[in-house]
Amino acid sequence: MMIYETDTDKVAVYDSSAWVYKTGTTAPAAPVTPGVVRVGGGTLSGSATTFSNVFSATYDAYQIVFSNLVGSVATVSLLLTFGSTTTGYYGGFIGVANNGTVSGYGLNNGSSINRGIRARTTGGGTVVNVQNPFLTLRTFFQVSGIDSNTAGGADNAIGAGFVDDSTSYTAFTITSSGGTCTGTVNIYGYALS
Amino acid sequence: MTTPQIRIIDGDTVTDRDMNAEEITAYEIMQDEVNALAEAQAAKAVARQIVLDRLGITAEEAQLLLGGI
Repeated sequence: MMIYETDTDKVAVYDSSAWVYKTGTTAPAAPVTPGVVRVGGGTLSGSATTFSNVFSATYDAYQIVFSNLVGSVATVSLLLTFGSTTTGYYGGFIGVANNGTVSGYGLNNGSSINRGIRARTTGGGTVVNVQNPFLTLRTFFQVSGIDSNTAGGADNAIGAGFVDDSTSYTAFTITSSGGTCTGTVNIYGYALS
Repeated sequence: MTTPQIRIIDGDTVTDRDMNAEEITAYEIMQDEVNALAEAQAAKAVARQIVLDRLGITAEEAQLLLGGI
């Protein structure tokens, strides 16, 4: 017979006359529930909003969901930066307007993720997936977003890219450009299995 | 000029304050880049229209040539 004592973190085996503690045993890992787990979030305010301590060793990949984005002026771009890094953002975006016009945008050593997260006075929404922000590896991201433009502008965008450094990030900041923006941001971690 | 405001959200704690010097520098770097991007796009739009005028076709017709739906 074998038991695990949670108060002593030890495994004991009954050898027909007494309990014998096994040395070198460790507690079993806590069970991980697969799926996404909310790790932070809140409402945007002012010119910028920082979400601190949302990336950690618990998760390698995250999803950031922007909802009900409402700009103070006709078009507000939201710029995403990891930590205090304002250089080394690379990638590319494609926008397809509702009139079918296709536009491409390159992000070449940019200061932020500057495409795909946009708002109008009538709204907008975006999802950003992020891999490796906490790990000392390059951080990769994929963006899919749209604002509520009906005038034929290329205000939707999908794209992907990476931050060309190996910094471990715990936070990110959303900065408004061309006005201010209100809205809700929720950050989820993809549970490791 | 009014100092830009920043909100810090750390768990359940929300702090609204003026940006510090480092944050303002980062803010200005990003604003400058976005403005430069907008200017470049505007210049590209003008150049595109000049080419369309030279070819005597509309933007929609050009999109057809380029495979747009």
